[in-house]
Amino acid sequence: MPLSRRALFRIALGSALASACARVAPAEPARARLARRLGLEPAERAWLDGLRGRRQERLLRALEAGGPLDEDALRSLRDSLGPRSRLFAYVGYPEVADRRSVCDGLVRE
Amino acid sequence: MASSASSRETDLLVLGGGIAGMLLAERASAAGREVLILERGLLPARGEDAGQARPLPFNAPPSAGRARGDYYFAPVYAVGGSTSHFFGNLPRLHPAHLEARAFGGADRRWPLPYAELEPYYLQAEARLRVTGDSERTPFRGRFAYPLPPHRLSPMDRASAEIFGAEHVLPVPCARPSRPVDECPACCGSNRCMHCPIDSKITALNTVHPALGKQVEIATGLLVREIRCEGRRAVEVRALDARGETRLFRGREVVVACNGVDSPLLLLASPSVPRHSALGRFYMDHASFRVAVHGSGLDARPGYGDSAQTGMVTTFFERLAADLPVSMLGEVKGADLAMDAGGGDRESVFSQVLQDAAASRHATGPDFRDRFRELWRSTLLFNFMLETQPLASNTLTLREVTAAGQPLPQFRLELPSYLPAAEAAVEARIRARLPKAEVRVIRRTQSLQHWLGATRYGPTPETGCVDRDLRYYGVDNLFVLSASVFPSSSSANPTLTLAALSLRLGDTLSATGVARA
Repeated sequence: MPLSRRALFRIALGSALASACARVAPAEPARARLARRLGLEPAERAWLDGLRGRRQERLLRALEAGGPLDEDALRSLRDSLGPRSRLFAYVGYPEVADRRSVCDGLVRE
Repeated sequence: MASSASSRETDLLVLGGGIAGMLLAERASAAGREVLILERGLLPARGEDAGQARPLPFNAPPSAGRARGDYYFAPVYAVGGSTSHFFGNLPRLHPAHLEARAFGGADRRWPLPYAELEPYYLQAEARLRVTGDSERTPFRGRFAYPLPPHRLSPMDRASAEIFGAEHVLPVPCARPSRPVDECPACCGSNRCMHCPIDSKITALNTVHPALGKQVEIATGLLVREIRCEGRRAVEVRALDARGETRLFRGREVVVACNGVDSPLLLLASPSVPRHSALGRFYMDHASFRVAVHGSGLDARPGYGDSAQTGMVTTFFERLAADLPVSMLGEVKGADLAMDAGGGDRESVFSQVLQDAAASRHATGPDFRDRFRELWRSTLLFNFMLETQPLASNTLTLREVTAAGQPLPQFRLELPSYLPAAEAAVEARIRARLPKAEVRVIRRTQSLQHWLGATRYGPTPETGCVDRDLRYYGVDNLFVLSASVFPSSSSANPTLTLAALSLRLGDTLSATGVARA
């Protein structure tokens, strides 16, 4: 059965809309973008979970803006990367499992 | 407050069960003297952090100054004293420090020449199993450290690039480089006040086990007063945890509390002669920390080859010319881990983050690499500065709490030459690393080195004790704490105090033999 001009128009419009929608992916969460920006491995992304509320977004904006980081951003980075187990992993040190034979020298100062 | 009816008598009565009192007791008991130690704290279990244990009502943290940023006093009230909770650096004083000229009207001379002290340094180092390098020392002398030095860390080696290899030496320390006695080897990091694996040599894990049954330690007794009649100390009044007064007598009485509580006890004892130097000339080491960012040197800290194993001696003998005082530098750990507390690390860490973020193209793995590079090239130093013995720097008795605890009041000012000292260090670093960022990040005078308030002096008009540590005017009363130091040097005081303890042990052993 031949298609009417109206039906052809509907098909064309639907196809165009579907194609456009397919090209626009859902917005990437701030956590994932932060992890990428800081070079975190997949297993390390949980380090960012301690940044609650809007802290992830604020940190991401501060990093993307360039320029000096404000105290809020620095605190978020210190909280995320600062604990020794994370910091040493971040800079590439192997994990020490047995602290009695290889004391890593940290309790507190 | 109840009081016991009778006094307990002993031969040698030692007030304080820290490193000084224990070493003295060990030596005197070996010579046949009966020794009783009174200690206001309790006996910690092996491995327990005595710095956190203050269960008795008269052992509350005595100073709130730390929170306010003022000068503060943080003793450890337990058997073993401050060595249960210290970094464990054990350098000797430089011979020049014992013979230093007066400066700014302050007399800095010691009554003992270095040659007389040196044999006791050797004995103290042997007894405390000091780890050190007998070949590379900051001055000529006899050195025979019982344990070999820790390997210098990358950060120490980077420091040598700045200050010269001849001026960056392994710091003599109580952190054993090999297993010794029951203590495992230490990684040398010096990040631990309290060692988590009981590796660090302390009075508790080294001297205390050797005392055995020869020496009795009565714990939980706060000494409130020494009572004198004529030229003799005749009675010691102590308070127990129930608030009851206990009385003790000794042929000789040795005040070995610490450099603050010893003077406080004398000040709180009305019948003890009040010499003009008592509570004056108080000192603690002024210090400043210097961070170096972007050094371009490999200064990585961390596991194994760890943070602080080195000391900087560039200014150790400096007693004239551009600086009138000496300085000893410590290579501190800039590992920047935040779970050990903020403070200096927070400031330095933030700077590393700023520098890493400042590179516009540093994202993802590049950011991480940049951070790692900056982190590895960051150095942190702590310079301890000799403090002048000034009569205007005082330690007084502020109050006695309802629980009977005497609390101190300090008057202590940062030395006027501190900016010049900082400038000297900064200039030295900038000359070697012109592109690096050098920052002084903290000044403090609370290194917990409590010196001077019962100083040595040739006469009762100039000091409180004579060269044998005998308190002027009381023939059987001695003071054994760093409060007898007539000058501060710039070296950590514990080893010198240990040497003086062994020397007094010999003196009192000879007294006992003569009497017998």
